[in-house]
Amino acid sequence: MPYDNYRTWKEQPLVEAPVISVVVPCYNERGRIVPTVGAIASHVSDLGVPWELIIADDGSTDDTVDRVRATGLTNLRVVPAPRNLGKGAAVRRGMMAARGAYLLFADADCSTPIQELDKLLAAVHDGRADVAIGSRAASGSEAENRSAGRRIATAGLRLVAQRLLGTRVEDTQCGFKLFSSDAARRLFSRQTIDGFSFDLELLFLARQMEMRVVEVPVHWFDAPGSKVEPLKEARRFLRDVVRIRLNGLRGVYADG
Amino acid sequence: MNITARRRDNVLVLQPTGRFDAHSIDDFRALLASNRRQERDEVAVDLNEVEFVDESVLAALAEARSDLRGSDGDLVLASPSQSVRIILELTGRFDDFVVVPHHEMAGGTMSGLWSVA
Repeated sequence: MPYDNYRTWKEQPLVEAPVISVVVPCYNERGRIVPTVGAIASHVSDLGVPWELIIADDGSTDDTVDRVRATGLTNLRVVPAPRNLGKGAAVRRGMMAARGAYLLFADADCSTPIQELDKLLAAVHDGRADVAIGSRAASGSEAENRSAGRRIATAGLRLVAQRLLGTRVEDTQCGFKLFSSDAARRLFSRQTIDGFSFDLELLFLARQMEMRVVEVPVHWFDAPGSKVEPLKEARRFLRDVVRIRLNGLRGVYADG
Repeated sequence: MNITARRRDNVLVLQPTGRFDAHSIDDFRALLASNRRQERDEVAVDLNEVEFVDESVLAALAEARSDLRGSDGDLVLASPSQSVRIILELTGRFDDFVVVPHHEMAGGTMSGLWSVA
């Protein structure tokens, strides 16, 4: 029975290494995090494999962490930060703490339904990819409530990133990406950017390391209450593109 | 997101599908206002086809239930998907509502209340 899968996961500690780790970065998400935890717990428990859920809190000043802990889910871990460091730092901390063979990070607003995990998992599990990324630009994707301004800004930034960093990925910023454990270890140990542009750095690194990256079309909702400030983030994004390019030229990402 | 309304016997059945979040609250309220009776109306919100529900919607549902009870009516949640059921439990909202396994069990005696095993 599906609900029994959830109940077992909820109540019984894992006795073997998790196959899947789901990492959710969050900052002051008291109004959204618990429904997101519920949706993830329902679906991933149904996959029938051992899995863990990691909430990578980014120094929330509200009661996000208390609300998460109050769920009492046995296989949920909170990885806190001493202060607000940025989404990239939170994702890295969660990914480095994860123990699964497949590591997903997913945004706290559940803007990409967790059901889309199945498609990403298939791509990495069957050996087609080291990294599978949710894409709102790939053929077959659906984006709901996405404003025209946001679409235009995203297209412009994508063009800049493709020209300067050589990435071929159409949607670098979707907060729904799956990694093999080996790819995650190699990428996140080299990540230097703590802010929203960290995805771009990961994709640049993946290309440098000749990893196989596939874009998987996903259904995506522009969830209410987004904390992204478009102009501020666009400026930061452009600055980070330059920084990543310079890091690459200076050998910052080299082994050892 | 889509919400349909239909009446079965004396029960108004509202059925949202997909993601039911703050973007949908105005549509839900408008549909309820245009279809409800002013007195003693029973409303069942069928959540079987809903994959995700956020806290603002749960608050709106509680508000609608209070409003209906103020006119001797009621609002129940019917056949929640597993995901919605778990969200209700984790947010501590499950016991705030009458939850029935199917909307046909809404109305009148409220028989067949969901039992959380």
